Amino acid sequence: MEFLDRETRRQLGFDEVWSKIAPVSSLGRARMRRATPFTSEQYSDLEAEYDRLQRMADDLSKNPKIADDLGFLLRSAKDISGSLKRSMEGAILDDIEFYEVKKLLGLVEKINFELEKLGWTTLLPKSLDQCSECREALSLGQGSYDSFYIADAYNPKLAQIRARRVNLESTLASYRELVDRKLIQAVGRLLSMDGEITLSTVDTAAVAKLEAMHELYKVQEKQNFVTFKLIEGEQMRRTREELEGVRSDEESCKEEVRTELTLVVGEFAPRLRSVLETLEFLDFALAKAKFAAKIGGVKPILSEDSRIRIQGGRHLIVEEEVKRGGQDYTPLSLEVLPGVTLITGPNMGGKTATLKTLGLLTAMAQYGLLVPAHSMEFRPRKFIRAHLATAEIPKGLSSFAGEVVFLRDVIVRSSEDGLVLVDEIAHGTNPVEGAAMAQAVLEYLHGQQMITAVTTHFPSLAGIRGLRHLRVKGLDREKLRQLGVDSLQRHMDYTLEVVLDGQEDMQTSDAAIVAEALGLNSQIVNRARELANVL
Amino acid sequence: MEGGASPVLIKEILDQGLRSVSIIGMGKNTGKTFSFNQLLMEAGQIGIRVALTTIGLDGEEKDQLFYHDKPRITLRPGQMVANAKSLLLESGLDYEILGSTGIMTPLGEVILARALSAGKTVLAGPSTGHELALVKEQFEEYGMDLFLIDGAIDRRSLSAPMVTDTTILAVGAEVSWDTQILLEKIQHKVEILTLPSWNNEVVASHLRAEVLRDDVKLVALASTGPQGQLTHGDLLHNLDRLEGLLNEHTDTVFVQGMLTDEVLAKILACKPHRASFTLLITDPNCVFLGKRALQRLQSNTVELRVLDSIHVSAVTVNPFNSRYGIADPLRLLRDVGQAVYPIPTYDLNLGIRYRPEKEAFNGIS
Repeated sequence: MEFLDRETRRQLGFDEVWSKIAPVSSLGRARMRRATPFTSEQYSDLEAEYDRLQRMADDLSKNPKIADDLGFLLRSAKDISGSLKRSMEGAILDDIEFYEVKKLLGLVEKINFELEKLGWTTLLPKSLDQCSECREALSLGQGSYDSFYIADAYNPKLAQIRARRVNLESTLASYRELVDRKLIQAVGRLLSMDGEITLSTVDTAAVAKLEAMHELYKVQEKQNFVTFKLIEGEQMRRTREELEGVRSDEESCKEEVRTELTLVVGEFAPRLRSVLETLEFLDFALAKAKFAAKIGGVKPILSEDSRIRIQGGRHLIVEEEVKRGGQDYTPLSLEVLPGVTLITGPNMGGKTATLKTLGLLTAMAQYGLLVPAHSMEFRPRKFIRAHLATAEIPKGLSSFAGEVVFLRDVIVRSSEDGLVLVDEIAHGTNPVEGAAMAQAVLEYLHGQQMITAVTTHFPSLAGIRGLRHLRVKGLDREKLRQLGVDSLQRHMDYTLEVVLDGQEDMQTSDAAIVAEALGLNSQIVNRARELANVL
Repeated sequence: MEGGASPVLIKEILDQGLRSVSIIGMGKNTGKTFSFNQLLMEAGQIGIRVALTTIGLDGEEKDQLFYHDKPRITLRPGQMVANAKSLLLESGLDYEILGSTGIMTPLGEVILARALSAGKTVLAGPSTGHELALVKEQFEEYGMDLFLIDGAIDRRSLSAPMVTDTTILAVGAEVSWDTQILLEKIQHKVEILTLPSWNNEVVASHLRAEVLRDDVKLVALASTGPQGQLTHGDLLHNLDRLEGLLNEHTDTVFVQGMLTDEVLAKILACKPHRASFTLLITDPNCVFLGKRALQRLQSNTVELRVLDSIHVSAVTVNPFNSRYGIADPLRLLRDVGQAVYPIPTYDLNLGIRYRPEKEAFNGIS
């Protein structure tokens, strides 16, 4: 069973929270896509990850510019693994690939410098290898660390060939320049790129001047214009032919250099690969730390026992929505143990949000993230599964049937360290039978290793002996009476309190009050009150 | 008319302090690439540091690639180029790789390089104005005196002028063999390209900062500031809201995005209760109006203004028509020159610039 399935991720809001972590490079983004949760066997790795993020997040909170500086460098880090693979498979790399390797090593130097300044070098699993010999090899004779050029220094033959080429080019160019000078004198014009010059036939004097120039011949003559072209004599033609040959020699010579340089890159490929791994690790870690600093995340404590304790936990998405609505958000504090925890309370009392917060924070902690809470204690779970009101029911099933399928699948794993969250258990069927079904399920799950947290409005479930029972404190009725029921949220106390055995009868869902506050016809509300009292 | 002593065009541009130039064509065979090469050659002649690129690959260039036609741009040693990776590698030039851009084209990433030998190459570059701006910014780090963009011939082409200080428009007899139609088309094009900018810089910067980001389609402005705005859906389906928005205080109506005949008709139907007003748009790219619509604006005494204007420093004329042959170059130059006056007009092939004072076109100075 995977740790989180698609449905649970969605319902908990994990995907939405996860998407707020934003590595700046394609390397970091690739690392993030490969991220997996830590398992219960990876205690020390998880501990190290928390320590690392805590340190980075603390530094970022003090000086947010760090993220900009490092991010600026990381953003231009390119994934060169394709070139590395090619270099080891016998292909010859091209100049742009050499440039990218060289540029990456330049970045590594700068990033290393920043990391040293911050004292962050020890935070990386491996130090960033600068591969200096490789960088030197790619910089030979170039006088610049920032560009790439197959310089003469790579091969003495290349220097000779180039000198010859430049010589031949300038012979051709000076012939053109000579003609251009004559043309400027004669008609104030230059040859075009193609070595041509066109004149209007109206300008007979100019045409006559060009006709007299032995370096030009008429290539086209029309009624309105005449075009002359540069004559390249025997000597120029030979020069051009030789130039073609020299250029081809130059290319072969450069290809020899590329072959040698590819061998160098191939030799360094394993080290360069490790550089890429470290860069992607750094970019992803920086993104997580930036996120942690933004949400005020804290380091979870890994406990020995199986409890999950959260103090002041915040579900980031719910918090955002509540605050957007101009309300105060109440952080969640609760403790759940292996077996069943029952959560009861009035409608709109935040029971669903409690389940979501518990699930989200556990999932975040297990993905190695700092969590939005005052404190959190837990130990890695094998899996998390949620069945909330927003659950997507498999095609062809009723909501009750969908829930049964969900319960069927988690019950077989109930001896494991899982976390299961069920909202309004068995509410989708006849209430009497539903309550009976729910009770049977909870009786079975209680005493199991799996942590199951369940919300319900069935009064009978509160009577199950030995269950951990948490209740939302609920509406302050006294205040409501005085001030009116204009805003439910304002009078709702979302705090959870532990209900001890024998106090279960105090449970109420405050259905009539909520309905009244939301403006349901008062005749109906009053009648409902009468009926409830009779029951 | 006068024959200009080369280099003519480049000098005129540099003398005005302009440091980046795009060349756009009104259609195929208007000599856009000839003009581009001419400018490049002139730049080489006076020894300035040039960086160049092109916007995408237009249809004409694609054909040439597929049919292995001759390379189009001739580089001199020292000139910098932003070109698609595969074209750069195939060019056979000796070059130094200066940088990569992360901008992808069908022919590979756009790479910045400095030519170290002379030679010809086909160019393929970024395809959006934003990417062109990035390339320009990167080139600036290497020190350049002039940035040249070989613009395309479709609508995309207008994003190049938005990035450069000035633009050269290449026109030719290929657009229409009928001189009357040709001149009307050129005038219409030039009229849109040279739409004047709006003079209220304070409100302009407000619009740039606040409005341009959102889904706002129209903003009504009075001398006191913005009066209200409409979304795209509102404008098309809710004429009442538009009527309610425009009142006697409205002196300017800003339309974001395309200004089409349909949008214009709606605005004119709810015309503010003022004799005249200013119709403001983002830039000339947004104008999708025919000649008649433009005339309608003038007769309604509506001033059309842009937030970001385009500077046109020259029009080049090519007498070639693929079907009918070659028009009389001097006559065509004179006609176009008069039609777009005072924008300098050249036949670069003949090396002649149109001068209004020399009506008799046999007078070549």
